[in-house]
Amino acid sequence: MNVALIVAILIAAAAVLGSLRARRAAAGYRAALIALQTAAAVLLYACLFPPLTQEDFAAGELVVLTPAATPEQLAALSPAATLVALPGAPESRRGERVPDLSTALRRHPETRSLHIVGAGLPVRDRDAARALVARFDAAPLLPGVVELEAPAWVHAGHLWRVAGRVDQVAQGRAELRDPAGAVVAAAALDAQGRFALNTPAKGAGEALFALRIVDRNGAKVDEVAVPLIARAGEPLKLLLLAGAPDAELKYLRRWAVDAGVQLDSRLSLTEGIALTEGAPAIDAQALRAADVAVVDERAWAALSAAQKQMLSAAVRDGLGLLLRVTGPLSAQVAEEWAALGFRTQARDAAATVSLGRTLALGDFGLDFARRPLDVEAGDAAALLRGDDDAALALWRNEGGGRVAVWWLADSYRLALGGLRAQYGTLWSDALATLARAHADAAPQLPREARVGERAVLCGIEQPAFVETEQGERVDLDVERSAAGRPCAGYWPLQAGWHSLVAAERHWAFRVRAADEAPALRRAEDAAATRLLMGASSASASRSSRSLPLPRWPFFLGWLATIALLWWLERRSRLGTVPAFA
Amino acid sequence: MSLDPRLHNLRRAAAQRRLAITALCVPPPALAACVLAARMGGRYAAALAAIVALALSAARMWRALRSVDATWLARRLDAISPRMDDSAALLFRDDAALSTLQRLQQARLRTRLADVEGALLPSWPWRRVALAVGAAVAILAIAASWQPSSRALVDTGSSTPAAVRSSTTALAQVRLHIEAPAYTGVAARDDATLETKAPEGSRIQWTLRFDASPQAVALVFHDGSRIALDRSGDTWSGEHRLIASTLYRIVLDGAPPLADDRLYRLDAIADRAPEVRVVQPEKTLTLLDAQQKTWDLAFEASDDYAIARADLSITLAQGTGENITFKEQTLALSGEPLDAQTGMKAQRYRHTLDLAALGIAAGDDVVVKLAVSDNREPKPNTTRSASFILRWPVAASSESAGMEGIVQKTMPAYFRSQRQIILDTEALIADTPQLDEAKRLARSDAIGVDQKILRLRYGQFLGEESESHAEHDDEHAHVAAPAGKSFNEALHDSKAEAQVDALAEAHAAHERSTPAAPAKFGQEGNTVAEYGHVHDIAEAATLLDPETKATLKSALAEMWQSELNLRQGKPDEALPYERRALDSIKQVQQSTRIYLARVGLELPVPDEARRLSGERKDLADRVGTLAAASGDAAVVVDLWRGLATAGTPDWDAAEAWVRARESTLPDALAVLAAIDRARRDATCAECRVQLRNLVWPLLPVPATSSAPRTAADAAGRAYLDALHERAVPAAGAAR
Repeated sequence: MNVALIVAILIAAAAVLGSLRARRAAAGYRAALIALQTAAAVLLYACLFPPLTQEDFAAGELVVLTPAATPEQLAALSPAATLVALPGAPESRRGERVPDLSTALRRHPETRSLHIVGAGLPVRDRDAARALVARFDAAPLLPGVVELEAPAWVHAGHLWRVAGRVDQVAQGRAELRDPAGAVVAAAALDAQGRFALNTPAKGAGEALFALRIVDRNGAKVDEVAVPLIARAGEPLKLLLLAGAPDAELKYLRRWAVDAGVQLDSRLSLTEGIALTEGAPAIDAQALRAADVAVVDERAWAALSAAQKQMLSAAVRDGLGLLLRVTGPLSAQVAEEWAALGFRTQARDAAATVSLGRTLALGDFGLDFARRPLDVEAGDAAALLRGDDDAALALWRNEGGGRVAVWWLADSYRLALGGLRAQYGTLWSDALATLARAHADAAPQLPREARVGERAVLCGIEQPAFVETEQGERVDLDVERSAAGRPCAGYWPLQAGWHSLVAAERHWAFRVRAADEAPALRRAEDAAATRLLMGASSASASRSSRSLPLPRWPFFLGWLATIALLWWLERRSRLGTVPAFA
Repeated sequence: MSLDPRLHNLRRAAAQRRLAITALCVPPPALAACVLAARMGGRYAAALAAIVALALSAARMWRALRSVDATWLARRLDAISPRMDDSAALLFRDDAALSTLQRLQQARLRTRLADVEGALLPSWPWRRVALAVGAAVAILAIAASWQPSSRALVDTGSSTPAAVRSSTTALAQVRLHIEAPAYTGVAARDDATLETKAPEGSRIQWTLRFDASPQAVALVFHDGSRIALDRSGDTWSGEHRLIASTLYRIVLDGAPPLADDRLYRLDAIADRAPEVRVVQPEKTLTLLDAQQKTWDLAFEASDDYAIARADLSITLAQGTGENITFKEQTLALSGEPLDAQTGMKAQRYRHTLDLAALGIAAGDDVVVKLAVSDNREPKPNTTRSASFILRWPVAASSESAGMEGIVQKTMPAYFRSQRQIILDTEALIADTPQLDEAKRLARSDAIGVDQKILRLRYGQFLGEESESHAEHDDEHAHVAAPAGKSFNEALHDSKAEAQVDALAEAHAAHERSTPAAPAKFGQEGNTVAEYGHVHDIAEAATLLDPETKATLKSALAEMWQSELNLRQGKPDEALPYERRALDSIKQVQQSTRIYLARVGLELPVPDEARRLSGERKDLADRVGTLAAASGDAAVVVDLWRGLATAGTPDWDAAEAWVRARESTLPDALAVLAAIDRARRDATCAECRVQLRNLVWPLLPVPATSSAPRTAADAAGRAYLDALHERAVPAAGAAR
């Protein structure tokens, strides 16, 4: 015999007793009293043991409320669903509060899939949710920067490009402000809210820029701090051989000398006479020392067979070789370059190319010329592409080194137009791609570290620590992952500049405060949660579950009935007293 | 019956004494306890302790006051005096309820009451007071010796101002009286801050009061100058004329330095030059139409303070070719305010030029230009508008098509000049009877000078000596330089002996004239012109063909003779020579001309076989011509880097660097102030960040640095090796 039955019997007994007592009441009240007694008994029972209904829900699905879940989203959820609320999720009567997703999964071992509602899973819970997320009901994004793309670091003097997307700001502008607060680059947002800004990095060091989004009236909508970390490069050893001086060489040599490149150049002026810098020599020793050699077709033709052999051997040994096309190739040169992997074919006419997008020139309407040449190489990658996606330079691996062909005729126009940073970036990138590989790998630092979130630093060796802005040191415990990558985890406690000190070198990175850039944060969470979603294969089967109805309507009904009953009993008692008297 | 009033007085006195005793005993330990609480537990503990102490003291005093009542008084009276017969309570009873005996006793006591009055008051409990004060001192000693724990350390920061106050001086009163120059019309004002902005040239008067008493106070400006303040009572005052923006610091002598010992900034607001806007005419060149009699001009000018004057300069250029004369006049315009509020700050000027009064004729230009000055003192700022031209277009000449027109327009100027000489001479001859000897000679000489200038001009075409140096150029230099290019190219003729004599004479005349007046100081550079002379101009010597040259030479010979006679005051003898010169010139004019065809640059085709086979001796490589660009910003780069670390940057070098560029940097003063601030307070992280941000715009953008690529790891190397091994056999097979 269960509790419900006992309670039912007791209530029924009370109702019968009450009805019996009501017999003595005045005839007018009797029927009403009995009816009310019965109703009160039924309502009391329903209040104590509410009747059940059948509700549909997805079996094995756990609904996870995350921060910023809207009331509409909550209302749309099935009442039968198993609901947990992560920290930061809005207050809701339903759903169990859990400290993190792992805890929720432990408490609900039957979970086979997750239905995420709200902003998305924070970093902490993403590992736990792997292969489980089936549905993601994303909350709307905040107006402001929702995507931000900036390199973790750049070389000193390089062009620094900050791109991204802004949500819910129509006809706004993006402004990049330097540490002194001056606008160094600004651009209107396009129809999708995208923008790309660029400015040259200054010397090695860290600076904090601000990316400000303003609406069409110039009012600030969002501001995100963007750290610029510039690292000093390492001077290359460049061997430059040219059959004749030209404008390109003038500016290339100027850049090389200013950038600290160790330049050995030989520009033939006439037979046996040349314009030289450094000590250009083509022998085994010099080629072993050089990082990259730049040779044009006239200088190539002037090389002896032994020198060409030596050059090819040096390339296989690690030297980078850039073959510049400055005019029509003779048949012999074309044949020899084909042996290096580039089949060239003369074209009818030179063509104009635009590099506006590649080099982020904005509205500088500079046009460039390419040599009338078609280059074909099966295994080559593009070193430089024009805006029309046609390659202007190709490179391929040749043994341990790399060899490239360059047929853009006049990149010096950049330097002439005052775009030194663009010119330097173009050539520095090209030469860095080809140059002999001997740099040490830099550690991989977290791009968007936040206070209280685990940041991962990879590519470091054991005695390493992180130094905060206030000078506190946190030693890192480096572990090798299964793939053999040495990584360490770090939980930042303070926002601001941090410095990884490993092998006596400092590597800076910046940690955002937990509440910094909320729009970006929410968009990141949503994007990361969406990425998790694809992996889930378990399709939740629909099933139904009986749920008790809410008690409060029954309680109110019971209260109303009882009140009426009390009033009626009192009336009927008062009515009977004079009769006894 | 009421109580004896003496009893009331007694009660009040006793109550006051007890209150005083309580006040002496309770508060000192309570106060000491508060201090101890503050020391141990910080601000909140102190507040709590103070509340408790206050409540306790108040309760004690309330009790002391309330305990003095009738019963107490009666007992006290009984206790201190046996003469009260232990019945002092009777004094407080209503006599109506008393028996006769009691009433009698009451009356007796009343008479005795006078004796006890003085002794009634409770005596000062000195021991208790001493105990209380001793306890307070002991608690204070504990408080003083309390070592603040690490938690309490955080709070000491808030209590430091109290500690610092003793080692620094605070400004009790600051008043800056700023008097802008009178011409600006800006009212004098008082500021209560040490930093301000004021119009350039303002007088700034400091009135300062300190909470310490220094022996001397001076304002030290960032350029090193110093103003000692004068003392009157405890206020210090001094003044300074603000010429340019500056930074200053208050330096105290004989007192601790100021609590906020930074550099203060005074910004001078420069008086801008007025702006002129030309409303009418709309274009720089206006063509006069036939009916136009006047030319309407309208200008608007604005200035930041007031416009003092506006001058319209009108230039009338008359004549064509080389015969252009200029007539200039300047008119002061009076303006009207643009609108009611602006007053003298913005003015509108209108002027209507009466063209007839100006005397404009066809082919003439009228050029107008407005110069507006503001009321700046001592030197006003002046802005000039662009020049606006009104041209009366000359009727299109039939000869003006093509080259010929240009030539013919230029040439007649010379012949007219020779003809003019003839006309002048004829006029002089006609006037001779009316003139006295001196006047006749002067006029004749003037014509001679004209003749000489003309001769020199033609002589240039023949490669003759040019006597253009200052010697004779005293008058009548109105003949414009001819366009020599219009003459034919011709070879120099060495046989033109016709003028040898004349040339020799001219040479001799030049030789004679050279040791002229001694050179003035500073004109030593003219030595070549002084002692040597150019006999011919090589370029000009080959302009003419031999025939033309001969004709022109004969014309020159006639001119020589004409000038000779004119200079000697014999115009009638000069006249035939003049006429013959005119004839010769006319012949030159009518001689045929040769025009060279315009052809493009056509270089000969290089002969590849012969190319680069020339003389190659002494030719060598050019080595090492490139030098790296050296910026001068190393100091500021070091400063920027140094500020990121905890180290001390080279402040002196940085400051010197900024000072050296004070005039070119956008806001050097802000940088200097920030350097000073960061330097003085080594612990101020925020100052360093602020300075670092200010320094950022000064950093140069270095040339893009290069970097080698990262070395491949083991897997990468293996992959490359495998690629290579596959490629090599494939190539071998292909062969």
